[in-house]
Amino acid sequence: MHELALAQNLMAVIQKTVNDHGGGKVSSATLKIGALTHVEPETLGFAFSVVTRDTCAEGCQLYFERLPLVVRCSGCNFGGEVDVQSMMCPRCGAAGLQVVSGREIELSTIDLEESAHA
Amino acid sequence: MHEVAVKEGLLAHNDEAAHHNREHFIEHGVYVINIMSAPGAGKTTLLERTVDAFKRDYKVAVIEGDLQTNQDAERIAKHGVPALQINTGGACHLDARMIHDALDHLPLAGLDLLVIENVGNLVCPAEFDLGEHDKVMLLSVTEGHDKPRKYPLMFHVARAMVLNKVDLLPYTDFDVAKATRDAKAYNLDLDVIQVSARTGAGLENWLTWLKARMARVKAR
Ligand SMILES: Nc1nc2c(ncn2[C@@H]2O[C@H](COP(=O)(O)OP(=O)(O)OP(=O)(O)O)[C@@H](O)[C@H]2O)c(=O)[nH]1
Ligand SMILES: [Mg+2]
Ligand SMILES: [Zn+2]
Repeated sequence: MHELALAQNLMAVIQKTVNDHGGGKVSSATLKIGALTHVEPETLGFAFSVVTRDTCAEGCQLYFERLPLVVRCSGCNFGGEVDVQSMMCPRCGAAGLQVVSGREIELSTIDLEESAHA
Repeated sequence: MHEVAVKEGLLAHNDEAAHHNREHFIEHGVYVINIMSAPGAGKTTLLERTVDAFKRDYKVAVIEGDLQTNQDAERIAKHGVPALQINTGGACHLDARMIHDALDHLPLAGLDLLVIENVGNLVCPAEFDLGEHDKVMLLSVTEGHDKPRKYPLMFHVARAMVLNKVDLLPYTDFDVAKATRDAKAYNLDLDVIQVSARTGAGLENWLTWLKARMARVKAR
């Protein structure tokens, strides 16, 4: 269950962002999650709802954007997306591909309602 | 209401702490590995054997990560090397900050090899860099050869896959070639080493691999 640790980190990043903007409430947040990571959106969402209680992100809705696994083949120089389950070059069939991206666990954007007196 | 672009990795803090640990390790010339596996794959048993084989010629220390109990550290300490237990108190993985805190109680000076046994879990530890030189993943043959496909990240981040409990191969349908092929699909550089921590079969290959990796760090 590393989702609790992720939820705590997410809360910290959100809090810092809100502070940088002079306060306010966060109504939604969008995360980018790479295909090679093991993040359970439901588990993360639950952990997040717990750690955000009584904070600027209480009730904040989480959205998940899945990013594909992108590889490069050293055999034929293919570059592009592959399915995680078939780590094989779609062009030449070679196994063993260089992972270019797909490990992201990132807070992409938040929707911020500024404090009335800001 | 307006949208604010943040674009920050949720593991950025851990990666920074890991980077910091790595600087400590390099400064002291100590080679560090992070051993990961499912619960009960044989990490501590392999470490007990490794410590016995190395303790005459090298200065070795072990950090044990567990949800609770000091049992693994006590097992290692019986073999006469420093062993420090970290209890994660519920977290299913070690993180870089826990390792950094542990270094207050475990002097690196003079050490050749520091082994970190992670919490038994095939998912979470793979995401958390500790600052180690190499990640080693232990797969015991009783777990099945489908694990590389089910937990690709673990095999992607590892430098070596140790196939443990090969003494039990005759009693399982574990396909070594398939497991090796699938694991390497996620990692071109993966070294595969077959051992039985119980009988000692293949142990020599594991020790040779460790010595070779250790020598690379010392040579820098
Ligand atoms: N047959 C056989 N049994 C083994 C081997 N290696 C370990 N075992 C047994 O597997 C069980 C678990 O071993 P441990 O070394 O405690 O495993 P671990 O990975 O440290 O376990 P956790 O720290 O709880 O995740 C013990 O009963 C060991 O004796 C092996 O190579 N062959
Ligand atoms: Mg153990
Ligand atoms: Zn190709």
